[in-house]
Amino acid sequence: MSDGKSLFVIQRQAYMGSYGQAAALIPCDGEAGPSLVPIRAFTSKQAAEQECEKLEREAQHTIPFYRGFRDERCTPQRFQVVCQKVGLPVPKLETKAKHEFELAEKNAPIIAAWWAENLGENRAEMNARLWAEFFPTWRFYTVVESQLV
Amino acid sequence: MTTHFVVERLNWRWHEKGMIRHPGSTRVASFDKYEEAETLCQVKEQAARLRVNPFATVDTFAEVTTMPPNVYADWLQDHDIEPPAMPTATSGWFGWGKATSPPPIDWSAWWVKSKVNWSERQLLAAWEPLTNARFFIVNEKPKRDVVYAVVKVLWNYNDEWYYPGSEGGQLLHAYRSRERAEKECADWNAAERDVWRQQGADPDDMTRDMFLRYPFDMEERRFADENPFEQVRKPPQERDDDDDGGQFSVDEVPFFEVVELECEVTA
Repeated sequence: MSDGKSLFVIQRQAYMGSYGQAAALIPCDGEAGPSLVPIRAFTSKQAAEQECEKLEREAQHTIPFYRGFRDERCTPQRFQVVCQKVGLPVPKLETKAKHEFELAEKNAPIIAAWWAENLGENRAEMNARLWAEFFPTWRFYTVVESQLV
Repeated sequence: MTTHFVVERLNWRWHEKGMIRHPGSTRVASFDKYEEAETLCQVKEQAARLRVNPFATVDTFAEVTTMPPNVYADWLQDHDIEPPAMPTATSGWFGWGKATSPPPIDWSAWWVKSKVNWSERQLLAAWEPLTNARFFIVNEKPKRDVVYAVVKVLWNYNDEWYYPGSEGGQLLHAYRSRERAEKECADWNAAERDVWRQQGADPDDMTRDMFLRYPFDMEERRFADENPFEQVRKPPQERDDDDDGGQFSVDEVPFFEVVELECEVTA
């Protein structure tokens, strides 16, 4: 490796871990910009992007999809649509609360119990599918070009 | 390519109620022999388990183990631990009235209350079936070069105090040498602290209000020397009378940090 060489660095998005009282992954993306953690560097862009995709799939397999919920996406109507599409029973969610965050708090244990009971043997694959259905633009990892000094 | 065995800490992080798993892991140490890596992994896993309440990491019992609650209760009794009372459903008064589901067990509260009476052996036994909550793993990986990135910690303002992202920040440069990365990082930290002081965030200026002298709140971010399995470090008690400030000073918080990362070189 020579100085001044381009490196392609995989970065992990940083998250805050709660939304009100419910545990959730909230991307750290304030007015100063997104907080990202460099985790691995490559001299080849293609190799970096391949590894990035692998890590993305791994995260979708291991992190429960409902950690992404914090707002209106956590509705019974949305669950109805997604569950029918992926062939899962629909959880019985609470529909009434004064504020959206209270609804998220009420429904967090219901969704977690439903997830634990209904995802079946192919849990990791189904969890990844639910990430993709509920959060199609969600990215845990990205690649950025940097210089080796 | 030769390989080695890397002990990695999975990215569990504190939030208001307990710990939850974030994506990714952090490299802790590497060994040529698997047995040595596994030994360190076990030591670190046990140390973490002694500190963490496993039921504060999850929203439901089934997230932490595949063992049903009544079987787990039997397991606990086998290890001389009194489990919580198993609730039963009611069918109303002599079969009349509305049947009710059993109330959920508050496993987290039970753990906190019971743990004080357990020996270390009992505590680790109580953890054993909770296989979905692991903190350390061993991975066999190719040996690679290592480079050192300097990231700028991104501080945001919420109209009352400044707060950073929970980890990382903005990547500035990657360095071949740790010494050079550490030197650049120290210089940038010093320069940034001067800027903040000039803007009024001076902890030594006793004429200023507390919230101006201590405007930084680390929130869920950990200091570099903190044990990630202990509760997030709080500012000194004497600063608690100030409700509006972040309560850490410009000299205590990071503005730049060094991150070690593996680098895969392709010809």
